[in-house]
Amino acid sequence: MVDRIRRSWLIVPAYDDARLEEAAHAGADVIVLDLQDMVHGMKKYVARARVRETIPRLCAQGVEVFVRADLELLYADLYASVWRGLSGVMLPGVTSVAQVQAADSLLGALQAERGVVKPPPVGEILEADDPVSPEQALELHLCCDTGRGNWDAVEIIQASTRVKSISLGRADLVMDLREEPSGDLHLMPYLMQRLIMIANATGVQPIGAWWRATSRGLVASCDDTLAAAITGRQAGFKGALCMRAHQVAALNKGFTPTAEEIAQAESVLAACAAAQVNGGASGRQDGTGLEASRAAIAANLIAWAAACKGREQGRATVVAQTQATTQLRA
Amino acid sequence: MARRVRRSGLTMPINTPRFVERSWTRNCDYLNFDFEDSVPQSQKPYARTLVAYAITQGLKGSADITIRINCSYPEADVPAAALPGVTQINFPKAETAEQMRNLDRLITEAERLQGIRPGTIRIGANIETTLGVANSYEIASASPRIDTFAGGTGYDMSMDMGVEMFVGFDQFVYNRGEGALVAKALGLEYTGGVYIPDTTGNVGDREHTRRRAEANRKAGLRHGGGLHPNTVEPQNVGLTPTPEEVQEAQRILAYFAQLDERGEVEGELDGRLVDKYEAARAVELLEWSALCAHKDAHKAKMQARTKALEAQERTPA
Repeated sequence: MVDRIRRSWLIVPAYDDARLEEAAHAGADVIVLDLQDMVHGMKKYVARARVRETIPRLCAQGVEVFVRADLELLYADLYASVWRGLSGVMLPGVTSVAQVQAADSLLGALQAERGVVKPPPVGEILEADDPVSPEQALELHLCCDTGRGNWDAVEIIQASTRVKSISLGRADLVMDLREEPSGDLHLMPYLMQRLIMIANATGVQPIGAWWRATSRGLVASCDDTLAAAITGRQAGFKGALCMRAHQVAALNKGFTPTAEEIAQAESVLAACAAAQVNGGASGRQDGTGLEASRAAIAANLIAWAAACKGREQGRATVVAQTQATTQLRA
Repeated sequence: MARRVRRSGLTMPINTPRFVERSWTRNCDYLNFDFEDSVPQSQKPYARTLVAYAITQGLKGSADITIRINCSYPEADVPAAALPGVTQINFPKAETAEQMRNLDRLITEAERLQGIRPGTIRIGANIETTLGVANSYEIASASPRIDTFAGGTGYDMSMDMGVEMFVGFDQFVYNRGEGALVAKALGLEYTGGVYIPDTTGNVGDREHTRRRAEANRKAGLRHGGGLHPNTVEPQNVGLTPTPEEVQEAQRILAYFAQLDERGEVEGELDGRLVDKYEAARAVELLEWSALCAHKDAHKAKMQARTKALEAQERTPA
């Protein structure tokens, strides 16, 4: 089963109308309304007040909406955020099971109190009489951006079934990881591979890109973002966080299989299917042997590509509906 | 515990008189007098009798004094090594938490007998084997005397893994990463370094040492050491912030204060992003710069005093 397609997660300060408007039309799969690092203490109250009305405006553009909350200000941030249209909450700086459990129960209480359920995949419709399922529990995305958060990651992830995805967040800034002569950020290759292994082992989606020293705190040029996304997909990430609208297209592109890759995968599948028809366990392609696992990898890629297409169709459907509604009202 | 300045350090056999006698003239931040790999088996009992003299010589230049004991005979080595003036005992090939707990107990007893304030003598747990890498977390968290930690690389690690050294790519990405993560998870000072390709294996290469020190400084790393006196000055210089960097840090802090007052979280200064993380790095750099200056002044003063005393002794009035 393919997870929800979330190739690009654009983090935007929740009070900044101009940036929110730009973000809404950037084509991101997820927009993360930020109440944390990008919002100065003086602006927290304004930012929180904006969240409820902003969520549906963004959903109307075919995006999923998350909120990035501050663990130290969790109650106020979640109180302001758990409204219809929200898909989940991103928690940076997670270091303990207790923190995740606290977020889990608070989300549960607010969902119940307000009758909020997670929206269906973009473009689908949730019927009013569909039974409420665990699938509709609001999600948690954990940012493992500290030493402790990474070391205890397995335990922390398993603290709540709401956790569906993890990332290193802005570990390069939080853990003060800087440029090495190799052009990588000190320790990042180790941390990234470790996170991907842990995510797969615990059944959650690893989010991130192969950021190198040309990036800083999830911000990079289009070219560097594309390179990071391509390498990131090869390493095992399923999508990445970014902080500038100009990075979205690059992330979507890097995390979507290319036409060449799809064609190659289809021919692998065809070769394996042909072999089975002829009674063999494996196929041959260009003179090299193919095992069943190659066929499975090819099938995964094709499913992923189809899901990406579905995601774009979903976006188009929603945007068309929004435009139609707007015209009707005009 | 005050932050230590250990940009440069020399590990030397404690039983080689000419090294120990002149150790204070090297201008290194710390001295690591060795009971272990550089001392032959036959000399080890003798080595244990030389600590008081080594301390005296080392302190003449105001270096931090550390002793590297043998992992196989801590019961014999610690009472000899844990004397007043020693700041740390380094334990090579650390592999289990039990070794650390045992070492902690031995040091506690030695401090008691010597009248050294409890907790003074720290433990340096050196990871040099694959088992040590696997047990890193247990080792690093086994004693409160451990306040620094790094991953396992180097000669003994290569021997344990059965690999050649100086091959031109980083064989220790995992080891280094695991050690760093453990240090950061436990809030210990991370004393690792970056990888620089080295195919010569020349321990006395000034140029290579300088390049590595600068790369470490740029990566925000602060710790050095070596076997050859040629490594000392390149690391003293390479790991110390330059006056330009200090000025830049002050500008960043001033600019960030302005941003903060206006309710902004980030801004651009000369094309460079400034936010609370840059401000935090600037604060650390200024602190580190001050600590380095203090250490340098202290070393210079002690060395000058020692030279003056020696001159007096040579030319009696």
